[in-house]
Amino acid sequence: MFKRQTKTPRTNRNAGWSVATLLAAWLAVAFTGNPASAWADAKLEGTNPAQWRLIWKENPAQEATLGWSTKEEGEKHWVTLQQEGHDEVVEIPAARNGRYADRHNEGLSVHYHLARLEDLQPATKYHVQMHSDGESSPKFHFVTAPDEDVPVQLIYGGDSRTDLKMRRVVNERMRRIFEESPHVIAFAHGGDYIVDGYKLSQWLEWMSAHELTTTEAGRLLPILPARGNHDRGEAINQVFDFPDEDRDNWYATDLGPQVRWITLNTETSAGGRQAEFLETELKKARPDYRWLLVQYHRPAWPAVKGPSSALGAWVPLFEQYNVDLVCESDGHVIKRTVPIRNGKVDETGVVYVGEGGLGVPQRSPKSDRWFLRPPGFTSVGHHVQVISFDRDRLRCQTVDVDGKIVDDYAREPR
Amino acid sequence: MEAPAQFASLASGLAWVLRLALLLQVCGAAVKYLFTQYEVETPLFGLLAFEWLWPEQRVQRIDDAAVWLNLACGVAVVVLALAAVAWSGATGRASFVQRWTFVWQAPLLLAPLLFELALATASTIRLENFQPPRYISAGTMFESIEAWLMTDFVSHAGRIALPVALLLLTPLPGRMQITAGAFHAAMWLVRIAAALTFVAHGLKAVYLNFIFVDYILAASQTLLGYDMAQSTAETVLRIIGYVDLLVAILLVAGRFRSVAVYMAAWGLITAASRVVYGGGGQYFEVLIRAANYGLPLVAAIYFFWIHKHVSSFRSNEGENDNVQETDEDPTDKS
Repeated sequence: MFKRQTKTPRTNRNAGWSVATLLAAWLAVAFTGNPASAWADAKLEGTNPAQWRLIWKENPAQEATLGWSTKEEGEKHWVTLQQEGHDEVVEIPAARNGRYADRHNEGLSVHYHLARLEDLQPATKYHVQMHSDGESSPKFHFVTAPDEDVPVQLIYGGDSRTDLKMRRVVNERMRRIFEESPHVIAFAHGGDYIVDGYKLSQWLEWMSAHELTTTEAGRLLPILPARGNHDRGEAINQVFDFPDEDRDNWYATDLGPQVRWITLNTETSAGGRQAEFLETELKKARPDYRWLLVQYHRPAWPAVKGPSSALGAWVPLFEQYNVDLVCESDGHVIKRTVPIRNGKVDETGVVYVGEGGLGVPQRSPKSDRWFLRPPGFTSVGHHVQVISFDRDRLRCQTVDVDGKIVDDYAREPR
Repeated sequence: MEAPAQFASLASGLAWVLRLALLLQVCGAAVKYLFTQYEVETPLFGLLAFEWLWPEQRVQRIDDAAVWLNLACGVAVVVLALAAVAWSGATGRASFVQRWTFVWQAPLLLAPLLFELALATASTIRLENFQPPRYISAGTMFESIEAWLMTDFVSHAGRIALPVALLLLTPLPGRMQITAGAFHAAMWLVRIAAALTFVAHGLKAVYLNFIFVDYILAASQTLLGYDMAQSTAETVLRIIGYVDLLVAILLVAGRFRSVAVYMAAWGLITAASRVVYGGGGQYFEVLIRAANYGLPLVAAIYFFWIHKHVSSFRSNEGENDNVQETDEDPTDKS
């Protein structure tokens, strides 16, 4: 079903291209040691669907948004959706189409299409294909989030903004983790996708590189996006299907009936409405969920910079409601804090991990800060966190680009 | 042409206010970038390390050296000037250091000037400045000017202008008094720089810079014990922004003493709001913003001085004491 394709236009499949494709694949293996993703760098020409991404927000057991780009505006854009094991193929028109904002006037005219998939079945495989006028994407598939208490894993990372080569290497690593770990269901990006959120060319590069996370079998890795300080402007809303004028970009996600994942935004007021949202959410979720996690971009307990507004506005709430793990980015290092409560080491406190390494030059962490000293952990290197949720344990493993586990943290339910 | 002797003491006094502001500014920067628990790097670090991809260790040394140089030069300006005054007081005559203040002060003032310019340049290149959350697909001239007005070149206009104004208030080598032209240039620079600082902050407030919203929410909670709604905070912030823009215009348009006093007080209050928000450990944020309240204070002293002297001149001439705030500057008669 899923044929190997690299940069070959999908509409021109012939023997010559097949030979070229095999040659390209061989070169990729020969020179990198890893097979390149079969799905990377789809041509952005005409109305050929490219730069696909599957976006999760509040209820991924039943809903998802499938986004893609076309060079030409086109007239008709839709998705065909087929549930595994069923014959019926449903056509879902893109709910939102438009031209990506080009605030820097780079002369780029590229269009986005966002199809909202609703009324899905939990923990179910769906086959999808994007169509824009006469052009179609390859067939992909995805699996919705479970609604039963089963083990799940999530990949977390942030800061993919500067080093394009390393961004692709890390994406390849994520794809391999996704392929090798059957419980991985999604990837949460902690923000700072690109250097300048107003630059469409950079978003296009990011979206093309994101194709690398698609497995060889064509499974799409759903993304849970957070906004970073570099992700300015409205393009991020067009890429990830936030409302046009949205500056809030905060939401809470069910990754199963026992895992609540809250995404916050440090690039808008941390107090006020967002703090109210957080408190309401934590108050409601804490009694019902075994695992309660939060992600946002700029850290409350930073490994290199000063604390963000999260420290004053959110940390007291994290501690009041005993959040199990907080994921932060922005610092360009690897970090895991000691458990913190009331500004001190406390075994009952909250642990903060992350700091970003999806393709950004790494810095030297300030390991002498009290909350980073052992048993806290700091290091340097591109990485992701793989967070595993079981009935009796939450485990957060930091994995570098070579697949080596550089930090391993686990905790029991509260 | 030199200003009359009666203005020399004014210029000297204003220079001391500026020196004090400079001292606070460089000490604040040193604490922020070198000595606090959350010692951070300047925007220059970010530019060199993340945009230009220089080696981190080298960039760290450059960053630290820049902060140390800024501190050393700022402190030296004050210490040497104090030493000169002390010598003069002890001996009853101007010291060599005092007579040549301009010569030693100029290179020392270059360091804080270049430091602030470098930081403003780096933050502008790195897009660290607040930009309004307005979405316009094609940039307009107005928007680009507006964006420019919110860069650190304008937000930090006071910090940048401070050393230049101080130099203008320093007599040229071999002289004991500054010229009238230099004095007026210094006063105009002070007024324009203070006004620009308020313009930048006013625009950010009008566009609801989210961190300002958080400052208001925190101040309301901490100082008044009142949980203000975000919508209320945003309304308050917009009003603050428009007032900032208004007083900025008035500071340049006329010599309104009340406006200058308000700006000095508000500059101090807004600097202190960082402490209210982030706790006492953030005291360096008040120091580093000394120009925000120091320059309006200089303008206020200048305006009051003019008011007083115009009044006394007119009294002496048998004229009405009820002098308007925008009356003629007696230093112009020099």
